[in-house]
Amino acid sequence: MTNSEDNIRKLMEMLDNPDAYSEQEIRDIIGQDEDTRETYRMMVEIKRSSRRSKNDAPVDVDAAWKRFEQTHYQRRHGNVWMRVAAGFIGLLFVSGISFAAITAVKHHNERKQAQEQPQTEIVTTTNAATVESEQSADQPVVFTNTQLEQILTEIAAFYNVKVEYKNADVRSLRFYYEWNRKAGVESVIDDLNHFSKVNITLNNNKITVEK
Amino acid sequence: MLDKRILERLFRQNYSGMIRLARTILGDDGEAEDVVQDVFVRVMENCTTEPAPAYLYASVKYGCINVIRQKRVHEQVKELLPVEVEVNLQPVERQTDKLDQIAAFVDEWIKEPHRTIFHMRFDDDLTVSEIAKRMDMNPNTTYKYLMQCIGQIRHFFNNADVKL
Repeated sequence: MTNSEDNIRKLMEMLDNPDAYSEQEIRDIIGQDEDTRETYRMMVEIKRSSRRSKNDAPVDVDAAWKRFEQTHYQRRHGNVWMRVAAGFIGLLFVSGISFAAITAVKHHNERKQAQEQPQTEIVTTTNAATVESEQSADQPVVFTNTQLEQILTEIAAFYNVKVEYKNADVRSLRFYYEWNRKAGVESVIDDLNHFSKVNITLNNNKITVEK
Repeated sequence: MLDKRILERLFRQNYSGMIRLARTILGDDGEAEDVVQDVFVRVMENCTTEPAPAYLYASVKYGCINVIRQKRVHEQVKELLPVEVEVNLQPVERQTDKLDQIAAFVDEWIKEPHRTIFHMRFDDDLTVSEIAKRMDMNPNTTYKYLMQCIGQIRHFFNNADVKL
C-alpha cells in the first residue's frame, strides 16, 4: 500500500468513528497530503449531492412566510405600538408632574383651583400599567421596573424550564422588559442578555443567571 | 426598510430554492431555515430596493459558511461538512449543477455492488463495518469498493471542488 493510500485509509477509519480522535488529530489526518484532502473534499461534495437528491420534496412556502411574518412583522409592530404607548404614558406622567408643580405654586393663592387633574392623570398611568399586565396571550407582557426574579419566574413557568441563580443579588435587579410570548425561550434569553448586568444561559431546560 | 409587499413577493418566489440550497449545504432543516429567514430579515431591514435573486442565493451560501465555521471539527466530519471552508467564487447555480451531475454519474456509471455500498455510505450514513455486515462482505472488500466509487467520481470530475 502506498503512503497516500495508507493516509486515505486512515481518513476513512477516522470518519467512521471521529469521537475516538482529538480535534488536532482529525485536522492532521484530513490534511496529511493533497490526495487525502481531495478525497475528503470529494466526499463532502458527494454528501451534498446526496442531500440535494433527497431534498426535492415540495416546500410549504405559505407556512414559511407566515412564520416569518409572525416572528418579524408582528413583533416589530408590537414594539412600535408599545413604544407609542410608553411614550404616551411617559407624556401623561411628565405632564402630570408639571401640572402638579404648577398647581402647587397656585395652591398658595387659589386653593380651590388646584384639584383633581394631576391626581386623575397619575391614576391613568397606574391603570395603564395594570392593563399591560392583563393583556391577552397575543400581546407582549410588559414588566416595568420589575425584579429579575419575578420576570424569570413567569417566563420559566410559561416555557416549563427551571431557573438557577449563581449570584443571589441578581434576583433583585430591576428591569424594563417587553416579553413576546410567541417568541421561543432561546430568543427571550437572547433579549435578556442585552442587559449588561447579567449573563443568562439556557442548557438542558434550565436557565442559569449570573453576573 | 423594504416594502412588505415586495418582500413577500421575493420570499414566495425564492424561498423554495434558497431553503433547498441551505439544506444541501448544511444537511439540517432547522439550521437551513434559520439561515434563509436571516437573509430575509437583513433584506427587510437594510434594502430599500428589490435585490436580485443572485444576491439572495449568495447570502444563503455565506450564511451557511458561517454556520459551518461555528461548528466543532467533530460535528463537521460527522456531517461530512468542509473542515477548512474556502470560498468558491463560482455562481451558486454552477455549483449545484455539479451536484446534480454527480448524482447522474452514480446512477449511470457505478455498477453493483458498488452502487449499493455507495448509497449506504452517503445516503444512509452507515460506517464501512456496518455496510460490510449488511452486505455480508469482508470490511476490507467493502472499503475497497467504496474507494473505487470515490476514485471513479474524482477521475470523472477531474478535481473535486467543494469550496463554497
